Amino acid sequence: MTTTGLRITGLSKGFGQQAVLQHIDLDIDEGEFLILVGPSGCGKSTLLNLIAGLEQADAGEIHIAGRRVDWLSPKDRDIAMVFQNYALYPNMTVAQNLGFGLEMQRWPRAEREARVLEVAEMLQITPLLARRPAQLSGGQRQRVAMGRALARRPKVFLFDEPLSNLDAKLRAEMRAEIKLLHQRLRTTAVYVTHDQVEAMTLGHKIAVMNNGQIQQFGTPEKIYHRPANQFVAAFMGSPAINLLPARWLQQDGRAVLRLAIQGVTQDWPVQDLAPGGRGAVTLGLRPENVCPAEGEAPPLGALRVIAPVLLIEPTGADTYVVVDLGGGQRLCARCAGGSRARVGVPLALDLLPEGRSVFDANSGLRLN
Amino acid sequence: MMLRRAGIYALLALFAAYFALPLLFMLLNSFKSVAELQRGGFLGWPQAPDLQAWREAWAALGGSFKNSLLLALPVVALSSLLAALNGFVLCKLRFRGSEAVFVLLLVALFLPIKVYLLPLAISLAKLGLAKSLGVLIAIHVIYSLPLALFFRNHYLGFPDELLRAARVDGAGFWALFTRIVLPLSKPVFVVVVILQFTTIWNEYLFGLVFTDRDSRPVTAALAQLGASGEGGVRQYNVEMAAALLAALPTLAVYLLAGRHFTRGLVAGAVKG
Repeated sequence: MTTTGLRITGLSKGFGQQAVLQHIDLDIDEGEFLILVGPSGCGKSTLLNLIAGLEQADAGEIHIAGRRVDWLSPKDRDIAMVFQNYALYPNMTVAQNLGFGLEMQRWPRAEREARVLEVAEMLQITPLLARRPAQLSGGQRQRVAMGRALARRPKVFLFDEPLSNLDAKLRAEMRAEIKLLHQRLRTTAVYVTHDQVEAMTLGHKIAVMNNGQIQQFGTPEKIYHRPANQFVAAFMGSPAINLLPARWLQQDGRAVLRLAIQGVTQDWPVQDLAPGGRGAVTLGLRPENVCPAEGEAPPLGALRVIAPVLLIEPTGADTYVVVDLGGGQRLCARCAGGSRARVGVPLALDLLPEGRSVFDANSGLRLN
Repeated sequence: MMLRRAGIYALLALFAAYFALPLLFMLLNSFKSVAELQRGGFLGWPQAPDLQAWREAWAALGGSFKNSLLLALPVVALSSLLAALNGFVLCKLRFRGSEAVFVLLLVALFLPIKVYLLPLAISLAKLGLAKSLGVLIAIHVIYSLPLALFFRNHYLGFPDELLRAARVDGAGFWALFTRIVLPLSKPVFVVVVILQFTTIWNEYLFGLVFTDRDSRPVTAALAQLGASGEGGVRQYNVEMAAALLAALPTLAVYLLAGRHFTRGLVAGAVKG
């Protein structure tokens, strides 16, 4: 049986007239890694601060490991936090930084020093223990900031965009290291980021946020393959999902999506939409579900389109080919490296039914 | 080019001499006897240099010297710590009306201290407080509250994340203040300590009015010395030795901390 790591119910927060968070509900098991992701200003950092107790909610409850904490001060919540700018104490050595939280909890000196050494070993920063933060590189500071959180062995780790100040290479390294550490320690974690790659790679569960609300809460697979609405579909994934306007109508008792390709309408039969419905919709297709056509006929359930190539973007392993569908619409396809596409030359592409999302054009909500 | 530079240095040397001369004459005359001064030997080298004037000056000032130390040290320590605390609260723990308090402090900074003299004397009399060093210390500490502005401005550049990290780490208000904020305020402390020590040590008016004969600070004693020439003969040599003696502590503070002084004044101008 699993126990609750973190449970949030009905959490709301506003500054003046402005509602920053509206009725947030979240629930993760102990040991799970929760990602809060969204564009800047979506409320994800405020939510983290509420969990930490650095800000007070207007309404709602927060439970950590089965204990209600929203009325406790940060130090009594059994949490540790890693900050975006590391927030190391400049006047203390690395060892003092690592041990400060333990000192505040009145640990005896010997135990404190033992724990500091243990954490330093774990993060390979033992040679840095006597240095001050000003003498460390960005990556080293990041490690110390992590170590300071680890030393406490809290019930929940809180990460506030911890990697956003590192360069791309170091960021990938630290991301892998955080994942390894979490696999080893199995401590519940909440991780705020605006980077959807970090979200996908690190999280057991992802909460995609926008405008102070959770747009979708689920596993990375579900978020990626079955986005609950158009915002989630557009926010997650790189290169971005293709979003094409279409009409949903019934033809001979079958549901079809009518698309305009180069000024010509093409009908794509769909099975997974509610029977009898119709209206303006948006079709969402990830680039990997659009492939260069092979053979005479498209695979079962696929739609073949032909359109001139606008842009070719090789990334090494894959090449992304963007074609012009006319009417200002573009379509991005992922092709295996060394694609035969030429700019300006028409290319035949198959739209695959797998991973196809259909959204209501007005509400943006998923229909299939 | 060389010539121009030499000209600049000559001019600077002239100015330096102009400022240093009075000090030099004080020093020279403090080693002369009253008799020599009366003979008109005011400008020359001392004919029979001795330390008699310095001994007399110390005999006259010694007690008040101690009073000034007993006054300046606690005032500097208390007022700068209080200023750091108030500056921190005003800057990082905003409360209802904290802006108004800030403006009041700013205004108080520009009011001349003489304005307070009479109301203060009346208040003390009504409160039944006798003139003493303790009272003077309290007065100076209270009137030094605007020093908080130095610290407030320093703390404006203080990253909030640091304070939030400490709170998550379990630091309460006082742990936050003593373990994180104070150690990071050293540059401001240097400035405030120098300014405050100089101000308090050289302060005359309150020192004269709010003390009695036994608790008089050195500035008041110095003025008394000049006023009490025996038999109409002014002992210039003793006065000059006494004045130099009284200036020594502030000089020492500048020499010891001066290097940090300019560093502190510009600290915060450029973040880094």
